[in-house]
Amino acid sequence: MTTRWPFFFLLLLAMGGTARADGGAVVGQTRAEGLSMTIFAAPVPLRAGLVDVSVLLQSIDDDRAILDAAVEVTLRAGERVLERVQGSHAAATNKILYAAQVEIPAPGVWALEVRADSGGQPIEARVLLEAAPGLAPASRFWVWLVLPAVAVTVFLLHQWLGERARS
Amino acid sequence: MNPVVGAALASWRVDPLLVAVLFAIGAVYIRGWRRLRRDLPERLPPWRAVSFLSGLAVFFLAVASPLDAFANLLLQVHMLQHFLLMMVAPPLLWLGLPELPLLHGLPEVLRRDGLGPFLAWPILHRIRSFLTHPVVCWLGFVGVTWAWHVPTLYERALLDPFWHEVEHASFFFGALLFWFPILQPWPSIPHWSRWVMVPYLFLASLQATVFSALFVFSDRVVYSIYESVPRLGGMSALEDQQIAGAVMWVPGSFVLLATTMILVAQLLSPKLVRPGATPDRTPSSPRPRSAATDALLLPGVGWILRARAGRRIFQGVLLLFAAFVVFDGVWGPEMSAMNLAGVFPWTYWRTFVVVGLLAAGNLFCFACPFMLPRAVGRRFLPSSRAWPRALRSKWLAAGLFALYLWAYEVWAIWDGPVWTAWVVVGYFVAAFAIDGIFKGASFCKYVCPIGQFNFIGSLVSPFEVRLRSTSVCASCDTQDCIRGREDAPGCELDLFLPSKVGNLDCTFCMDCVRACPHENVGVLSRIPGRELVRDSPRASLGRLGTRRDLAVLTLVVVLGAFLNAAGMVAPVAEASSRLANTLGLPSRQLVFTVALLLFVVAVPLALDVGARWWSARIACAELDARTLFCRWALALVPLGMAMWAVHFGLHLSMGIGSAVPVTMRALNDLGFSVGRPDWSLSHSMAAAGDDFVALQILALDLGLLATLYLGWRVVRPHVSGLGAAVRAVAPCATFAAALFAVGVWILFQPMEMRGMLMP
Repeated sequence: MTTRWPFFFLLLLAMGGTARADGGAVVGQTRAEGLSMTIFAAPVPLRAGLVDVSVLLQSIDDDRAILDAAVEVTLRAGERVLERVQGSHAAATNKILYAAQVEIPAPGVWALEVRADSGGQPIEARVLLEAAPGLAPASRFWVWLVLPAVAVTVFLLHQWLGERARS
Repeated sequence: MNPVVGAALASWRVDPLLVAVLFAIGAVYIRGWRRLRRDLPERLPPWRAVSFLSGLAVFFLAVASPLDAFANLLLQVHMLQHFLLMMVAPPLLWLGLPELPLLHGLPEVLRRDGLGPFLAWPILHRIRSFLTHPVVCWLGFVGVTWAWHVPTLYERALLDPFWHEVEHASFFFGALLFWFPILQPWPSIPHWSRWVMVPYLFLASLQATVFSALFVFSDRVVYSIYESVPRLGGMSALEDQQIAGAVMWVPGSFVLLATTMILVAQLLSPKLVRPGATPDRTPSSPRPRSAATDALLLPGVGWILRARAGRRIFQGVLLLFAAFVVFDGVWGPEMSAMNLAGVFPWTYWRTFVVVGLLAAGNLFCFACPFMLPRAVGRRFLPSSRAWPRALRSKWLAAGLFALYLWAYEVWAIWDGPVWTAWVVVGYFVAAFAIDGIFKGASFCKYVCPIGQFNFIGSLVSPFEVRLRSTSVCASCDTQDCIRGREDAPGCELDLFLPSKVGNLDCTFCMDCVRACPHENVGVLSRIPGRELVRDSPRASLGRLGTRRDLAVLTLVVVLGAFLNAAGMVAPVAEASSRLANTLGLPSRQLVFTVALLLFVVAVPLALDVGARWWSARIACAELDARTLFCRWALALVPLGMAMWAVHFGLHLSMGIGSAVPVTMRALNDLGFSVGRPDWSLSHSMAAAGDDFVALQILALDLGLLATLYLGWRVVRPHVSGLGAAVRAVAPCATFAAALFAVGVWILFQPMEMRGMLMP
């Protein structure tokens, strides 16, 4: 009996490769006016380029997540505003968070300000983000770039096995 | 419902790739299960299929549901996720006996020719035997469980999506191995007596108990990262950890204990079918391949394609639309992003043409609006002259397509609505005049650059107009498909159906469908690009391996894809300006003109010379220089079409909403008050993310692989020995790889979003 399992293994490999998860580390926390605000940023470590900023607002009394706040994320170079984005649940995978994307233009230290207002209760935090150099595109997309080489290798192996079987 | 709970339950991350992979696996399984069940109903009862599909569903639940979104906030949720990945999904999948259903669900050609050599490879048999040995399975499962829970590795995975994927994948595969000898899915053969599985499960349960106890009874938080994240539900990190331990302990032990009991019951019961036992009957021989899908038989679509009125309706709609575009192009605003002539042809129409080619076939020629003035021209003009013999080739079309590429860049016709309008008008005049004077479809066959682009692109389309049965034609002596009947003309492009191969020169006009009295012509599905694998003689075209004109046209279309895309990236624009300054040229347009000449003249010439040299080195009678040049040029079509699709797809995704404000503006100008246009809709950031770039690279990957395969098939039948064949195809592969590299480089450059309103 021929063994058919490699095909099944390849399919499962495809499944396993899609088992992804979110990252992100806490970069700042603050408390004021009965609220606590936690700021997450990804990737870890931070790099120049697009950065995901997520914000969790909670009531200090019972840790309940606050979902109806207006959240604004500002990226600054010193005092100069580089980007100002509204945080939203729609942009977040975890819908109890507010998320926004900002673009860190270059490696270095950048200031991130997050301001939230929930029914007249404002809370604000300013954190410094240290960004490493951004990954080269080839590093970000290496999986897709090596795919043809892998496919060609498998194809040549296939041809070699076929030739061997025929001979 | 509590809004926080509602928000938590809405925290799904539905990755299209994941959904597509799971859907494909499920569909292949069900197809194979249904086929095998006819022969083996007792082996594959419905509950097996339900189990397999449930396994896929649990896997999806584990990686896409809120469990994943909350894994970095709560350890207990993360452990529940791992429990599903390790203790629920794998046994459900194995209970579905997936091996044979998945294989038999595949097309036979893929199963036999594609996978066959691998399935019979002894080395893979040995690897399988090693991996499914109970000792390896047990150690693998326990090893990955303990290793990934070492705090350094665990926290690394939690913070880095890549390592988190690796962690989940290794849990899933480790668990698949662990469950394999326990469930021993048919038709696998156990290594040892099945009784060995009792201590196997007991030892697994024992280590799980020790592992869980460490979490439950520890008086400190094992993973410090959970102390830094905000707490939810008033629960401390230590309490969360204790619950996580209980999640692993109680349900985990229950699953293992229940499995042990069922296993023992099975072993003690002679009535039950034991996994691994020889089947009563072997599956019948593979069923013949199902017939291709015939688009003419699809409800709705079939009528539109078949009926003359169907085509006329589409042509009429496009004609009206073209008239609207021309009107706005001439009298509307000069800014292209606010003009119908600046938006519809360049953002939408050309993308839909390419998508239509890759997803179906030559749909634009089917609905071509230039056919209507052509029909009018034939009413008033003689249309009796034969197209000049000297022009019966693709040379003129290749030149006109190159001219279009030049005009696009140098005159920036994309940025001039008036230019666009006059190009459309010029097309109508040319179609009217040429087909009013000459008989046959001379304009389509020899002149129209859009048509030539579509002919080349349709080589990799998944549908073609072809015979349903060749035997019907053997007894046909009227040949109406080419000669026509009183009420139905035959093929104007001289494609005689019995000797028609593929899509080249086919405008999807469906004249042959209507003319055939035997209803023997269909629009049938096929493997894209298959017509390029063999160089059979073709009606009206002969062998493609002898057509240098067609090869050069193909090279102009393929190289044009890269040149056209390169023209919009900032480094190319800067470099051409610098070069123009250095050479003292008045503008960079001259630089582009030289570059275009290089691409469409020098590169094909160099390739032709290279083919001569290489052909002499190969020294194979069947692979003369002309054949190599022509067939390798055609092999580049998938890569070229991928580049066009990537380029146009970017424009469409960035300007997907632009039709709304620009149409509102045009209607307002015409006196219909439809409100104030929202110009912010003109730009979208959909194409800005890494996922979109990955999709673009994937398209180029597929194009490159198809090109390499076609190039390989040109030489393989004529060269003996694998090494010799690899050497023989090297020039084609190198050129394709170089084009691929150029394409990827272009994707990584900052783009000038031409003709778009940017914020």
